[in-house]
Amino acid sequence: MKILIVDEVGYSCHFHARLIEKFGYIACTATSGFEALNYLKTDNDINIVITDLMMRGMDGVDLYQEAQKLLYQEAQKLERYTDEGQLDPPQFILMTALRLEKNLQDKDVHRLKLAKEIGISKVMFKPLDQKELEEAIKELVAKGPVTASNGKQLDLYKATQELKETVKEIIESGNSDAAEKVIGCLNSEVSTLEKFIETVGIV
Amino acid sequence: MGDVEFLKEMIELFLSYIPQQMQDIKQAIEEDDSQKLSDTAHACKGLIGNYTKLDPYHLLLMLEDDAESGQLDESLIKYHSLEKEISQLVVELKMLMSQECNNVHSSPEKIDSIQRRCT
Repeated sequence: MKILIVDEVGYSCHFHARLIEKFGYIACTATSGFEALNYLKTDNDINIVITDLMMRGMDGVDLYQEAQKLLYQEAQKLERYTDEGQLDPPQFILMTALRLEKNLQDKDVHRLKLAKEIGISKVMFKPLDQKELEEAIKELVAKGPVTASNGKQLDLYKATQELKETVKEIIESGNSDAAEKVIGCLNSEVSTLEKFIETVGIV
Repeated sequence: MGDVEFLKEMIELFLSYIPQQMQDIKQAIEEDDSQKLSDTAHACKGLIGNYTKLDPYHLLLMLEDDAESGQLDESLIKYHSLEKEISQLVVELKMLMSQECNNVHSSPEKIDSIQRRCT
């Protein structure tokens, strides 16, 4: 089990890497999103990425999105395979020292909300509680990445991006009829998903 | 690696990083650079938060607030208070290291006590 720590603050990288090693896992570190992406391109053993939210250039959410592109859309190029088939993509834990009660209008809080929407496995607040972090990692290891019940990997990132593009196009075109039609369609699909969730007993 | 050994290493890590962090904060205030103060205080908060959530942590929150509002008039005063608090924290952490952390046979209760004092 290998865990990549991403934080532009050297101390934080070092601290969390040693913590991960104390838990009994292998840790590696990157001090930017770009460096982390290079790791993900070249190291198939990384199972979990723990990244800070606020980083210059590429923040934690950008990193997750870029990693999804990399790992899903370019999986063949990256050869993330073993003899047993395609490797699961690493799961992400986002850490942040933001104060939600103070920064409700802050752009970083919006990034935090987006992180939850696009499928980042867990968001944790700094300073991380050691036991909580250890439990979170154990939970991710036990649960594995988000997969369908038949084990097939779902490309939620691509679907989400396409939906966002469609909404953006409608707004830019100023076409209110199209907006209403899409809302109707979305409401219908939301109902279908809610029925599905009730059926499988998730909620 | 045992808990005491880990704690000792983390304290040494703190001692090695904190001077530069403090220097960066001071420089940001002297240059009246709100963005830089926001970044450096935020980074230092992450560092300090692993050891204490008391006065030094609150002073860093206040410096972050100053940076957010762009009002750095009183930031240097807060920085000097922070400097004193950090000096005190450094002394306490060094004492902890010498008194407790070198004892590799510390009981779990003793280790818990050390960690409580650090947080």
